[in-house]
Amino acid sequence: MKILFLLVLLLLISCLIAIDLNLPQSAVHNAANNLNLIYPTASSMSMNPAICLPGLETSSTYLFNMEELSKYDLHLVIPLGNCCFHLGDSYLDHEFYSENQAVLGINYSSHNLTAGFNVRMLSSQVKGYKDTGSTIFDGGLKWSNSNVSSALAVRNITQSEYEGSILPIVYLWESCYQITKCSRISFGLEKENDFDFSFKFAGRYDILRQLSLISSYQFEPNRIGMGAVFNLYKFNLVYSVRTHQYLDLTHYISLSYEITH
Amino acid sequence: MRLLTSIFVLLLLTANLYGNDAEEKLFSVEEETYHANELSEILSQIKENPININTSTKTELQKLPWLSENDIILIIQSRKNQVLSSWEDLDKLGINAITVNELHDYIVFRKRPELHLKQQTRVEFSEAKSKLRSSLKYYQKTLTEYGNFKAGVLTQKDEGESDPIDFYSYYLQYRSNEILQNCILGKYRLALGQGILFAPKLGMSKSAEATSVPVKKYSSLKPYTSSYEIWELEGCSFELTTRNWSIIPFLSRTKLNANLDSLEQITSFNESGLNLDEAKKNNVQETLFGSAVEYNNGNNQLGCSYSSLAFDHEFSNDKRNQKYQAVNLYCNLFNNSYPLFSEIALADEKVAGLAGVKFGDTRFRQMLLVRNYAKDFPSWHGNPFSAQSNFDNETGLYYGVTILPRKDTKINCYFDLWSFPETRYFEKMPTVGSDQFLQLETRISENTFRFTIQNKQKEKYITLDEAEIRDFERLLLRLDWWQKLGVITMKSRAEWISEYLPEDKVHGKGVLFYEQAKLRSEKLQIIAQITVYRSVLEPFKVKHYMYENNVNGIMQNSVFSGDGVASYLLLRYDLFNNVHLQAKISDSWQKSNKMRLFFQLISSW
Repeated sequence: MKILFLLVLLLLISCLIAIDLNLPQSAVHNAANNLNLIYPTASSMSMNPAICLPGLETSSTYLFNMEELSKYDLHLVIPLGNCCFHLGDSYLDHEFYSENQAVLGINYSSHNLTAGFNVRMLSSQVKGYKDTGSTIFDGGLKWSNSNVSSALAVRNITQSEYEGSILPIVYLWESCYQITKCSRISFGLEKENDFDFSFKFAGRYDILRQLSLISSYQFEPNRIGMGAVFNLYKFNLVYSVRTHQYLDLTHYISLSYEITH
Repeated sequence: MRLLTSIFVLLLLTANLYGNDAEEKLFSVEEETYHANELSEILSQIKENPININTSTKTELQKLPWLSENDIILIIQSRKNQVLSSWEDLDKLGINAITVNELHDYIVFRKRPELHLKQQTRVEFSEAKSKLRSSLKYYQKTLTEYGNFKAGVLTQKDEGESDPIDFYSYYLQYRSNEILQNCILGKYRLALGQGILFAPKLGMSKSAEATSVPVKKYSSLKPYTSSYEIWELEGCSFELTTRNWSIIPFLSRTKLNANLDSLEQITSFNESGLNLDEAKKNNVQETLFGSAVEYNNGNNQLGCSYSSLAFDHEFSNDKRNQKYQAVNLYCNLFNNSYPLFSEIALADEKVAGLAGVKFGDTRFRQMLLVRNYAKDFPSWHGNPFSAQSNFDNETGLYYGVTILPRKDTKINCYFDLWSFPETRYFEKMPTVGSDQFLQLETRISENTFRFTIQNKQKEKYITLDEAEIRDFERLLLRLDWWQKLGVITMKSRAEWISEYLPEDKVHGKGVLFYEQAKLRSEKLQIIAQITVYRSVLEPFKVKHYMYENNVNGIMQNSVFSGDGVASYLLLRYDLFNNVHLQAKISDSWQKSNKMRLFFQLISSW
């Protein structure tokens, strides 16, 4: 089944060029099934431009544990007054195909509200065949108080096209609630054109100041993610895994450095 | 009889009622079996002899599945400084109000009286089986205790069986605090680790107690007192203990009821216990011996076992061997805030393993459990956490969450993903499935609401001969409402089920409503319920699973499909301090031959 899926994936790859596959951008996203409020990181801004944690983050994975399908991410978020600026890049590599996504983002916070905006430049290459690309715009809003935060992201807000076809708009709404000093839960809904609503749930528990556990579930498609965040001074090391119904686990690892706001 | 039932129902509307069906949460929402399981048996025993919260051990408290590890630690620590004397004391400790409510039938705040002799006799009459030669079902259990010795005899005869003691269990048990801590001669059952090799069958896996019940916490060696007529061991086993170490050798030779083919090879076992054909009764012999070694310091348990099993007939399935050896290694580390449990077993050269961890704080508990059982792993005496009864050929990941957002609110949810990585019986390809469950229970003044959603998706073949695999989706929505009017409690349920084959665009739906009333006065307890249901039978039969009180008062599953109205009335009257009479009548108003009658007499001296 795994080989079959890989073959189908490779056959479809020319159709998937520059189509945003909504892949995780970091180990935390992998653990939380792309929910961002449960543990914001620098890469969160690429999923929802209103959510971020100033810092530098780099991540790496073999998707579905296939050594031939590697992915690398690098994100930098710099705070400046009430604004945060984001510069990021994700690179998916395969022997016959590669895809690069460069992200430029900004958000502005006022009181409890944050609004953000992203420009994503997707470029892909079928090796020995052709290169192509597309520019995508995302918007995001976040509201938060001491215990509750809620955010909405609209990805591909301008309905950008790729080779004459309109790329899908993705809506992601999520809310996060701090239950106790050490625990928080998050749930969200994701909707992509022509797909059903995808429900997501995530929990975070801070065992120690230096160690947090994240676990999550996504409904449609059904996936469980889990990960551990090791925090030392301003450095975070995150390891996570996420299931797939037919393929192997995706193991993800991230290393980040927080910049004090 | 139906008129009588109706009158009782009407009378009950004006009577005093009590109870909240806490045990129903522990059972799987879908469980087809009619037999009592180990858990319900344990609960039944505790209900009759409630745990004294002031003197109980940690192991005894762990038998109460509603209590979390934190709750148990709170109780044990508080006992050092004070005697717990009321429910308010538990409330003051910070135990959730829903949890406290669930404990009402199982805990007392005094010393437990010593039980010396208990006699239980039950007669059942089923209208559907009234034309059989010997149409009554008898069940009797005698348990006696003298000093360190306990003995018991249990017999059962199903409807239609001619032998008055068609099934029997017996045991002599010696228990002490010396080196020979536990010794059983007769019929017994083993439970090791998380139950991959040995566990009571019918134990629960998934339930609304999402972070508690999936963990197996059985005692290792126990007399066989279940009425389920299979899987018991017969012979001798004992537990030798020095300080924290125990060794449990076991030897068993059991007769089983099997279906044999023309080559006298075993095709399957008769798990129903119904022996209408004497030729198929006790026609296969199983010999088992081995030993387990355990280290237990009260909180943590480490163990391993070796066993050798042989049948006196071969199996028709050439993947199953007549003789095989099995070893396992297990640990239950409960002495920390992040309880860990795991077991790995090798049997007949196939491997099965399970591991889980709990984490979180008192208001937010989570549990992750991963399991992998090889195809054709001998699942005969085992019952670990799984999505199916024969647990071999399964890989899965379970994520359970319990949230206590407020004092009187409890949320349980679980998400389970599994796959059967190799072909199974009449499934020509590997299949996958998932299960999502959410239950919210909250108390507002004298009203308790329990809202349940369960969604199940799996790939399946509909018939044996077709070559097409389909997605199957089942959605259940259920609302339960208890209303306390002084000492009166009424329970109402509304349930809606949808089953769907997306590829074929075929829907099946069902609705069920019931109203239940409970009364408990000093000497009399009455439960009455009327259920109305309507569900489709074509293209597939939509089933409603409903736990109803059996004659003991313990929950037991019933299955409804089609259209109908069903009712039951249960009565318990304390004739004397030590003698209780129990009776139950159940019937279906629109279907014939559905009436069942139960009479049970329990005496304790």
